[in-house]
Amino acid sequence: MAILKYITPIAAALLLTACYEDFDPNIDIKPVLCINSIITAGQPVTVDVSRTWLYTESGDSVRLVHDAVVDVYANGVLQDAKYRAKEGDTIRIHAVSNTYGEAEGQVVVPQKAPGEVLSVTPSLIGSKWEDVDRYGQYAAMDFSFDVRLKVYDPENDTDNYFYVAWDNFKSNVGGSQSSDWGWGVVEPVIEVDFCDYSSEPIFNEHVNNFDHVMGNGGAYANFFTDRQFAGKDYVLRLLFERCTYKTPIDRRFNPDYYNCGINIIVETISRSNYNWKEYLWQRNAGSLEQLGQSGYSEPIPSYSNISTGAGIIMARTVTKYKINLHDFLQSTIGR
Amino acid sequence: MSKSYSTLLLTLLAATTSAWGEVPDSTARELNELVVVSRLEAPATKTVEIGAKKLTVTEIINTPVMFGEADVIKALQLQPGVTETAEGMAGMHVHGGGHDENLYMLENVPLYQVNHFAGLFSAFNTDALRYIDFYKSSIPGKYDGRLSSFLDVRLKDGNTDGHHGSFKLGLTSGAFNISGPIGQKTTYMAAVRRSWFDVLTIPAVAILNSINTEGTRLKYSFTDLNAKVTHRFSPKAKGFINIYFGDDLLGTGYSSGRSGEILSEVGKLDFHWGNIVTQAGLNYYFTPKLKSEFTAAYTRFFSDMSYTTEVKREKQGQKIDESQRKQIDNIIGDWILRGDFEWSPYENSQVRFGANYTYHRFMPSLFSQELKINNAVSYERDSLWSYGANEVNAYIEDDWTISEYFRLNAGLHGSIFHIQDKTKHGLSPRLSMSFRPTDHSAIKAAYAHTVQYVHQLTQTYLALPTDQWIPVIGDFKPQTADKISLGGYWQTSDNGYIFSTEAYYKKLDNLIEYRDEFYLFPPTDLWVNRLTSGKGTSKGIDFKVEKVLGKITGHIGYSLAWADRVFKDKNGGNPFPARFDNRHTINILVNWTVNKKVQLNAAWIGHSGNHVTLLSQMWQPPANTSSFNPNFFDKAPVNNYQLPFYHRLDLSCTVKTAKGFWNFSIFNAYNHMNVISVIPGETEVGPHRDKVPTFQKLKLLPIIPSVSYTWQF
Repeated sequence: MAILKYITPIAAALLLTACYEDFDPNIDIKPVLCINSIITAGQPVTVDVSRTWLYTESGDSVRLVHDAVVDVYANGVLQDAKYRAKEGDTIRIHAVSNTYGEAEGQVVVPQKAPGEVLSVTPSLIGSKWEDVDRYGQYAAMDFSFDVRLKVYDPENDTDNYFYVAWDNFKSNVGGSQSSDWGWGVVEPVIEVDFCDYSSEPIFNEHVNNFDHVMGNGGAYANFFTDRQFAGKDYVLRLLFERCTYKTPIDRRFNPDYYNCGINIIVETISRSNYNWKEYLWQRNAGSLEQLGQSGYSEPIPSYSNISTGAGIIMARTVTKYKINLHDFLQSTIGR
Repeated sequence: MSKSYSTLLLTLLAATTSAWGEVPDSTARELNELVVVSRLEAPATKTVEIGAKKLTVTEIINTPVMFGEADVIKALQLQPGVTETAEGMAGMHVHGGGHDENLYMLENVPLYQVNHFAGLFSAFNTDALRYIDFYKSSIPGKYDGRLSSFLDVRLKDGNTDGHHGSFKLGLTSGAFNISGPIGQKTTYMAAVRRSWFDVLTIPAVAILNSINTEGTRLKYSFTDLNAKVTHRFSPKAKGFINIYFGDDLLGTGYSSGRSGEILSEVGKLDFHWGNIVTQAGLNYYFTPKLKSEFTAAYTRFFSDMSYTTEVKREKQGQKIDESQRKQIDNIIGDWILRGDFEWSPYENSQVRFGANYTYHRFMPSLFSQELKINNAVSYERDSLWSYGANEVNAYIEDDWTISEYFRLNAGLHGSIFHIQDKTKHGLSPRLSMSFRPTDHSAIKAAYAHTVQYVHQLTQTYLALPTDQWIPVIGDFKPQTADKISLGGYWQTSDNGYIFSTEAYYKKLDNLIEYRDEFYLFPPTDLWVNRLTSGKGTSKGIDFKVEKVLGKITGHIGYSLAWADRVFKDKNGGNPFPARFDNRHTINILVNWTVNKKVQLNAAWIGHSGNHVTLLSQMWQPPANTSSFNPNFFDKAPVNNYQLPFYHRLDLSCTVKTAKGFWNFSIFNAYNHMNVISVIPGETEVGPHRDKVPTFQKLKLLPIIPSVSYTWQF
């Protein structure tokens, strides 16, 4: 909940009026190079180079740089296109342009975090027969599930940062079939709509008291650090809600149709990656930047680890945990 | 041969009266009492201090201000070398210092929050005041604990000749004060003030709620109370009890009706802040040459912010009442014991000495949370940051009139601040010298070292109650300032005009500020990790021409000033101009006593614009960046943009009636809406009202007329 939602009507009512007036500050800016790169362990390094532009300039062309030369160094050694990022590598990216000068930044590729799924506890909310579009009846169910995932701190002597996400997977069955209305796709559908990050306390560790009170909790945050479990492990409690599974009624006794679930993605991320996510949280949900944007406090520039202050180089190492809900789904509507 | 203290006072008063005209009745009544008096009664050509000013209640009342609310700090803002924190606000910057570098002492007791409602009104109710001594260059040995200025605010005693008072009704507030005797030896004084904003906003909120389906809640009020009871035990001893209570309440929120399983929902956000001072004091004269003032006091600043939601649901035929309350408290409480002495060993020497002990309790961020579902309650409280600190101060100073031409004030103030098993200390030498080549002129020089152990962290340009007072802890050193000043004063032979000029150079060390990207430090870390220390300098010269006699009085002040800062971890370690680096400042105050019934006042303020940070360069974020705001800005030097020249004219008129007086005032009379900030914004263009990026100025206050009537009895 935004502080301005409260402050602005009060200010308007009690200060009688306030207004914004357009003007030209006659600022003479010197555009500089911007470097962006999201480096994933085991993947090639890709780099985007652009330039800064004056806020009032418009059009994509103002961002383009035509004469940039980019070098990627790993542990001080110049690399070519065959290079794949490795855990522990220090990667430095240097770009130079005759027009916009030089820029550089570096990042350390984080170590993979070991982990294990401790438990998956699904809860049925309801099931029904459901007409789906024009392709016939489906057996459908609404449910939620709770996952306990233990994450081990990969390194004791350094700060480590983590990010959690998920995606759905489903069995590769079904396909097209004819119906009274024509041809359609007949396959299972799984939708996991929401993970209640705010119910996991560690996702709130970056939220200060002011934002807590203002209602800006951890609902938008899915990143954390090892500050509270350095050198040890931590059990994440992930509550997935508003989940739906559907399968064609005539296929509901086929066990292959229940190989559905989610992949929980745990990334160990570089400090710059964590700072970037924290900064985005401040923009989207925190109070501080909103005051700055309105002119009531010092504005906050975007987080950057590039020498010019423009762009960001981040790194990550990805681990996926497959949560197959087959038994729960089948036992509920496949009997 | 020495004179008694009372005789000295009366002599001084006689001199002052002849020089300065009519003395207010209340002051005259008090002079026979055992009272503390200003050390700045005499004109500047006769005192030893540079940059010091006694402000009388009359001067405060005759300064036109917003809503006609007579205001100590806004009256001081018209003095050369003093600028306001933000337009219309009650904070001040003195000679390039921060707004938390001014010590406000109410009867020797520090007040931490001196503003009502984001600084629009000061916390000092003029009805209760007797006088204010203000020091910005020469700092007497008695004062320390802040870097830039000291305000010694003294309250009225009750009248001895009957019950008198006044009742004021204004557009935005009402005030009542009364004072009088209780028997032969006791007097009382009480002054209370309350704003009407909450009443005024009722119709607006009602209209808003009749239009919208969602209910809106909006209220604001402030109250302050001064009460003082004085008892004269003997010709040598007078005791008093003083209570100050200032309280602000700001509330907003919403309410909504049935929606799905929710029967009703209410959300409330409330801010509550203020000061409480309770004090017992004793003025005791050991001998005519040695007098003393003893004080025991408790002063507490508090602010809390709470967010409450109340939801009533009906689920499967069962009614559920849920409520959640989150609250953050910011508290600083001081227990104070002090003794101050004045000793006149010789006619030409006045020695002041004293000591005080303060126990500070800091709770800058106390979080509590309560969740209630039907009758089940869960509660948690986080008091990680709670600190006690012991502070001891001692001082001595001698005001020595060496000859008819030379006068000197030399002093030393020592302090010890003990917190978290660490002891920090400061030794502050003070020196002021005055040379009077003629009866009507003086040349002065001064040096002052000051030490500050507590400071206010603020993230906004406004004085919000969320600003926290915190002590200097960890490896941070106490903030210090070294200031040298030179002054020249000349008064015309008829005492009608005073010309003065004061030059200064101030060096600030161990200043504390938020560092770059401070928001990246987790709340579990101590706040010190978010801070950085640095230095600053300010220098300048003030000129003032003052007309003090006749029907038209007032002054014209001009300041030429520079102020800059450099912090290790802010702005990349590069120096930057202070936000209030106002190169030129002009203040004009005119008071015209048209006749016995009508007084006209005008104040014009003009100064070079404040410095703000304007982010102007954008950059392309990485692909797939999810953000509600599409603008990503490159860093820019801190305070890289100077706002346009600020200027404003305020007018007021006082018309006396048989039983009181009317006050008419116009704030910003020619409706020049000044720019308080600049931002990258958006404007709509073309028939489709397309939004395009543009830079925008934020302007705050237009012309504000007001009227009030004060009934005196």
